[in-house]
Amino acid sequence: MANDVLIRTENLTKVFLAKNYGIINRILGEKPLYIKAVDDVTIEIIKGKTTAIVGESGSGKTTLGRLLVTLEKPTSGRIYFRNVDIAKLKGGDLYNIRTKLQMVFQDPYSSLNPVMRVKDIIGEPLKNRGVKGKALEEAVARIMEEVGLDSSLADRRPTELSGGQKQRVAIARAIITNPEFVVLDEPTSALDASTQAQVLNLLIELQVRHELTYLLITHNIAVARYMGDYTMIMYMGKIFEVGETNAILKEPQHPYTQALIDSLPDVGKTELKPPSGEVGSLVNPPKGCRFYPRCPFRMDICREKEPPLIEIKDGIKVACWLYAKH
Amino acid sequence: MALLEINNLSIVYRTPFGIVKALDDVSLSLDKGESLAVVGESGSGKSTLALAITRLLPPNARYVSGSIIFDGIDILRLSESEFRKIRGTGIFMVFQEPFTSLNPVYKVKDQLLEALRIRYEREGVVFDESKAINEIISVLRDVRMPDPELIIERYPHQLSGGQIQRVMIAMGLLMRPKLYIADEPTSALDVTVQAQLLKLLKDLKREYGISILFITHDIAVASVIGDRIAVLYAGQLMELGDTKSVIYDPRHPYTKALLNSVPRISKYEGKLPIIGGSVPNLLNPPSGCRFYPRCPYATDVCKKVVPKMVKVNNTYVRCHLYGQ
Repeated sequence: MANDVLIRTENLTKVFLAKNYGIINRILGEKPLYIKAVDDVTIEIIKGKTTAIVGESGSGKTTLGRLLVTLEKPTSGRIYFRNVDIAKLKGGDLYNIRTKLQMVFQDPYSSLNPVMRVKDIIGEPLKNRGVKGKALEEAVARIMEEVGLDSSLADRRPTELSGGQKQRVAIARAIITNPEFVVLDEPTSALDASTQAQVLNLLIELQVRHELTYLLITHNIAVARYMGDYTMIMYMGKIFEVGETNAILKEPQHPYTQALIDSLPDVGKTELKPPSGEVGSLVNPPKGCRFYPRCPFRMDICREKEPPLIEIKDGIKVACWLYAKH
Repeated sequence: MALLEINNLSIVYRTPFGIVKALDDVSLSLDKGESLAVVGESGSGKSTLALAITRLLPPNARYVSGSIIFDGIDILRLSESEFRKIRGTGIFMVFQEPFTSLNPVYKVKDQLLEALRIRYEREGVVFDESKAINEIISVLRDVRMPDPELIIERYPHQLSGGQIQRVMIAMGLLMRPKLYIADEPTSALDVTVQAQLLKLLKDLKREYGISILFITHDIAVASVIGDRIAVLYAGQLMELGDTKSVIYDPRHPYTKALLNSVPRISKYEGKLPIIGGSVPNLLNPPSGCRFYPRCPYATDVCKKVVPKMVKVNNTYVRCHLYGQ
């Protein structure tokens, strides 16, 4: 792609222990149980654009987002931010790079400290980096105006705010350090329909004004359609399909992408065509393609071997044996 | 005659901050074998409506006026013990949160058997456990549960959210209620599981002829499940009509705004138009039409007078733009 790549990952993998594995388990000779939340993910995130990750719960989309802003350490693989491997950074370098990488969390009802005042919540990232007094106050006032929070709310506490206002506070806190990359983890899933549109439009305005690069994590493919220049479809830790959002929605290539689109209720749609079954176990994932047990087009090879993610046409990559050479 | 008829229902909650006017003069009806989807944002009173019909409102709630006629009986006039006979076999409710709706210390089998035992007792039939188990297995198959023989031996925490909601729907089918109330049964679930359950409910409605009152915040879900749609806003019923009319020819400015503000998958709409402001505080709701502070067509009369429900073609609308 001709566009600038801001963040690039190589074979990024994150493994969690599924169960506590202490000294007693070791003595008893039990084997540890692992969950591969993110499995061998190689992606590029284009500067100044919105990349949406769409997936169901357990797909690893939030873990991937947390890895990219250094809130989690990868088990293996690399993350390059402007050609610096941020997975290796420590101490002061890590502290400094984090001003450039920010995250807005899913649930504004639990992500804000209930005993702090709005202005302190928003100003904290700057205060921690030595900004104080008048400069801090001005920065907070400026950002509050920008995200559409009335200045009279500055002395309130989060419990006194509505859901939409809380999410504006979270957004203000994320962008006050002037980041380049912001991960938005389901920024509107806790909000009502009428508030959701307000917050989505605000995010688009801020992106244009501050030249922000977004990674939008969502389970709602319609939100991805509205916000995302690029879309990645994720399932059980694997990337299944990547490409320009419009191209993916117009002609979904992967059977899972098709299933997601057919499952989403839409105004005027009368029949839904969901896939059968449920998301499988991550402790013991299917050996071949992870979607194999639910896929209407499964073949023998799908059970045996994992399909590679290959480019099938201009900018569209798919991991499916329908397109790869066996 | 309609199966359920709600006339001029008003409900308030007494709170330390004052009186919350949760429902204001709501009238609607549901026919046998019909599904009605009630759409509203948080604070619209949609869950209060469901709890009012099942008489499960918290103690600080009060029925101010109105009546709820179910199957020819005004249920607000019944004593608690009389109404208990209607619960389950008359009106059955599936709740929003799957992980708290089953008792965690009993196996799925025991909880479904309890439901069946109650129905048998009310029908005056002798309870036979092996016959009951067969009925449970066959209904679990009807709700497309994989391996029902294994599932019934499990405890609720061993099931996924989608499986629990299937168990709840199956429990409803076992009770053979006349009215099924579902309060956001799919909003805690993934989209593919949500789609499976919506499809299942539609199939069951066709096969069993059950009547469904489906409560949701998502107008897209409402348009899939409902034969008719009722739009609630801040405790007032704003629009009521068959799904096609409400979706393709919405009358009320709020319904129009709601439809426009949802990102769609099937069309590119440009920038999403937004509804300015936020849902009003029901401690002190706006006088007149409760939507007027956010309405682009608001006039002086909207501020002063509560509009009446008027019939326009096939839909009922509460708005001063229509009628008179």
